[in-house]
Amino acid sequence: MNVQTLHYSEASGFSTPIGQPLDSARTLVLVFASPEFARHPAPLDTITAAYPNSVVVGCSTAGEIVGTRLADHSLSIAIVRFDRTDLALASAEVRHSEDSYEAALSIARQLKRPDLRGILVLSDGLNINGSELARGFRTALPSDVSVTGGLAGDGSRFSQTWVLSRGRTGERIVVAVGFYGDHVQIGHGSQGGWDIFGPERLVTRSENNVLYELDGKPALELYKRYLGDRANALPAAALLFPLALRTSEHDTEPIVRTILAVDESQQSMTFAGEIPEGSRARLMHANLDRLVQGASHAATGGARMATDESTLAIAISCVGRRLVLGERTEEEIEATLDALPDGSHQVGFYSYGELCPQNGASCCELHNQTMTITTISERN
Amino acid sequence: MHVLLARQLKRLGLSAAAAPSATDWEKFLGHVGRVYESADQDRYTLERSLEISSEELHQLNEDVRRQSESALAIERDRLHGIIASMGDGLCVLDTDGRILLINDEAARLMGCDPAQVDGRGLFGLGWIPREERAHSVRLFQALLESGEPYRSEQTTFVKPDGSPLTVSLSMRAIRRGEEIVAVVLVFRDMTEAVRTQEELIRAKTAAESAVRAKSEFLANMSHEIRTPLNGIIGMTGLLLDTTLDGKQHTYASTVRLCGESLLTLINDILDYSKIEAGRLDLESLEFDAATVVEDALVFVAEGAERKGVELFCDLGSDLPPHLVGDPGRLRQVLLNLVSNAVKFTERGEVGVVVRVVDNAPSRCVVRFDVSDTGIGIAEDVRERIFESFSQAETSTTRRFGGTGLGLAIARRLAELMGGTITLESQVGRGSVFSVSIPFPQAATHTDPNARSLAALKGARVLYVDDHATSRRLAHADFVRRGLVCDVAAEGQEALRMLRRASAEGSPFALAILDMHMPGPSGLDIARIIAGDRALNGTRLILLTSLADRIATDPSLEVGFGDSVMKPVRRSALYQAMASAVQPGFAGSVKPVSPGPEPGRRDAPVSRSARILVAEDNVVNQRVVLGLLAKLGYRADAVRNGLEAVQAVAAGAYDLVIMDCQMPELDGFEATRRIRHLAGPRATVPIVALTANAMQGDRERCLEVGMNDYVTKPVDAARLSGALQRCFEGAAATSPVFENV
Repeated sequence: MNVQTLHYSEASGFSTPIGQPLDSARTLVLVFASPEFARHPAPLDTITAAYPNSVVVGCSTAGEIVGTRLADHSLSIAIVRFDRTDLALASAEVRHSEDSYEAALSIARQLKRPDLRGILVLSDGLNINGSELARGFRTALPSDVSVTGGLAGDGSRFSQTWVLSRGRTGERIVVAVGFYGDHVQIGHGSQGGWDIFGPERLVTRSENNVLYELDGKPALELYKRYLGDRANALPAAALLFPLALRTSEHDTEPIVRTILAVDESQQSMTFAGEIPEGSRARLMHANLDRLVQGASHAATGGARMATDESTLAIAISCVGRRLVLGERTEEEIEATLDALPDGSHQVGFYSYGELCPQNGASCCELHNQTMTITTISERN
Repeated sequence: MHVLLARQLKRLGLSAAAAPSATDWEKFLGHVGRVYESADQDRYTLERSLEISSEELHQLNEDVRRQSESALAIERDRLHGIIASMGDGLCVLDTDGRILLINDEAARLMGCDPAQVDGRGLFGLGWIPREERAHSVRLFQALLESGEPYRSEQTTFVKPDGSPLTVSLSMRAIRRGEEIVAVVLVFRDMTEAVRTQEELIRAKTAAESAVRAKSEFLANMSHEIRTPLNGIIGMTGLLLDTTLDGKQHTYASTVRLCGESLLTLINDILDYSKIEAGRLDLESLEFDAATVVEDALVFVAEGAERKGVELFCDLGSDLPPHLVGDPGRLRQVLLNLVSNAVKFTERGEVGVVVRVVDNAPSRCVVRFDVSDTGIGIAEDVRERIFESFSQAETSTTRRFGGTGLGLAIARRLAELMGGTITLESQVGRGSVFSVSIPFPQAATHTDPNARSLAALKGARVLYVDDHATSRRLAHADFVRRGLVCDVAAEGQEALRMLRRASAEGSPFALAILDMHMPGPSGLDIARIIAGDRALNGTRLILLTSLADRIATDPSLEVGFGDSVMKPVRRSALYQAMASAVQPGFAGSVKPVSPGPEPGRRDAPVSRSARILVAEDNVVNQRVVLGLLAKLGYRADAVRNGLEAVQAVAAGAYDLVIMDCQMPELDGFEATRRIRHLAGPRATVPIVALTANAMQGDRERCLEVGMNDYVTKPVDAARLSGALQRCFEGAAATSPVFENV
């Protein structure tokens, strides 16, 4: 298979000329874009025009990754021409986050074929219930089909995200690419590196993915207290303290949930996934080195399936990590590339949520605050 | 170089070696500054997290502590409340015996102030009497070592004022894990309980001695009463032996009858009180139930005959030949019922039907139905009659006499034997008293009638009796036994049947003729048969009544056959029949037929002899007396050894029949005493009556000086033999115990 990665910025244009040679029915073009490109779609159109036969998908981000470089206001592009792997494109609307489950079912129906090996999902980042989306995939697909991907981002603004498919950007859409055949190898790895601290708190009032109260007191209050002066940077600041959630007494591994929005009038906080009442939550904080280490481990996980031939690694990392890593964010994407096989090509973006199978137990879970690596390669 | 610094340089295209341009320097510084700011913010967030988190945890801790303190306080109060409200004294001691806790009740009972004893050693407080102290300490140590609780139903504590306190106490170890950390002592004031117990014991002892006094009184009184009574009866007996004119004889007889009635009453009362006191013992002998039933009927035969009431006995087909029980008491019950039946029946019949109700391997339940065609008993009276001293109506007593104890005793005896008496009755029609008693099966199973029946097998018999029940029973019985039997109700019919049978070539081997029939009597028919050549091959047996017997022996007159007295004893009848059918048939069992046995001319040796019978059981007494009477002897009876000794000493008796087991003084001791009397009386022959036929008994009888002995139930032949031997062998030195 043939992989090419490049980037685009207004100032410098495309870093490598784009064009025909790689266009085919078996070509996948990924475009991770800074949100403003929805209003200035010219480069997107160019790409779409340049690859008429290919499957071209993409989404808005909270940061674009190419190689070991993190940029904003840019496009990160990967072009992959498969030799023996077929592709298919599917999409579904999510007018409200309640439609998330159905959307996944719809996509699964569209893509389902006996030789389906994996799906790459790019979803709206704000009008979505990521855990419901994941649940839909789990319901509709056998566990040997891996579903990876991420939720589109909007920098640290949390106001509007979009997804690119069939040459157009759109909101409230979930798009997915299916990979078919016996030759495609899809690997995945996902890791956080956040540390749990403080007392366990009971979720006393919540509704789906909206959290109102912990231990009978407004959750927002708690966050503000912890954030102190940085509270005026909400909702982004809340990314500093993701929640480690245990839905039942018997859960040993907590799920990590990232905040998506804050509502002062309701005193509520919207998370990327379900926060069931009665679950137990603890705050987490980040340690830079552990984050980087986590990313490295994620990549190692993804690398296991990769062949010695060219490998495309799609790094989808959580915006919360970027907030914490700050200036040192690139260290994590350096670490991931280091952990990948030599000659791997890395693209990706900073997202509002990551999709990845969980420990082989299920084909898809929503993760937050993780570095999720998907490796795609072909074997002969 | 720091990796971030390196990257920042790289980003700006700078190198560590070369100095940057001013713009680049500015940019670079900007980057660096941003990193420092970022670091500051990170540290702020981290420190704040720590601070707030600590605060939260501290708060949580305080909450938990407060909650558990509050919960603990509640529990403590609850526990205190329980301990304070306990009705028993409670002390908790540590392993050194020091008081950790003492409740109000303990303090109150011991008359001390809780505050003062708290923390002090229990064993030094003076609660425990000095002489017990060392032992108590040892008990305490033992408890600590073994962990086993200690309990005492009654211990004495000493209160501070020196007064004793009776308590029951228990000590238990309290463990924490494996280790014993404390001991709980709980004690209760037993003063009241002890006092109550002592009162109860006093009351019980008093009650027991009252009962004992009553029994002794009763025993004494009955003895006191019986002694002069025996005198009356004995003396009038002697009087009756003298020459008296008719009037004197009548008067003397009346006196004797009254004395005997009085004796019966006393015996009944004594029996009743014995039963009530639970002091009646039942014998356990092998006996033939048929004989017992027949005995009862024989006793009332005279009275029944006088009233014209027929007696019958239906022994059924499956009565085992021997049962184990007390034949004397069974006879007593049946006799009571049968004599009542005869008493209350003016016409018709009285009889006993015997049926085996349940024949299990280990026990046989036999039901005796005593039925009569008497006046009947009204329904509302039926239960009452079994109660002591109550009769059907007061007028009954006046009309029929009786103590009113008979049925009560009969029922008690039946119950003692493990059985029941029930009653069915119809006023004006009659009654049936049913006695059901379980008997263990006897070891002996041989049928005493086997030989006789073998000889009779297949024989053709004609039974002639005007009494329908007798005919029915005889017919059923003979047929069951394998005889061919026909019946006739009167003489002419009988002759017709005999003639026909003879003409047909199958004559009757045997004809049994009731003596008393309407029309020609049995004797008349017998004569006709004897005189008719066609018929006289048939052997004859006459069934006679008492009246016949007293007059003359009709069968002797006719010259052949035999007579059997009514009420008929089955064994006797079979034997007579066998003898009649098979000349030369010698029965292995001598028939107990009242009356001199034909062919055996007993020289009435010493028929003038006077015999004393010492036997406490009234019925057995009567049996012996009856036998003696039939054998032609005169006899008096006493109920115990003491009376026997007195009677021998006082009166002139030629022989004593001495029951071995008697109250007051048993036969052995009485014999010993008699042998020590002064004068010729000491050598009076004594025949022992005993239930046991064991080796040891023989020796014992010999030892005390008895001359002979007869086992119970008494057999006339054996008794007769023993008496004869005694009289004949009065000079003989060694007693002959042939009857063993």
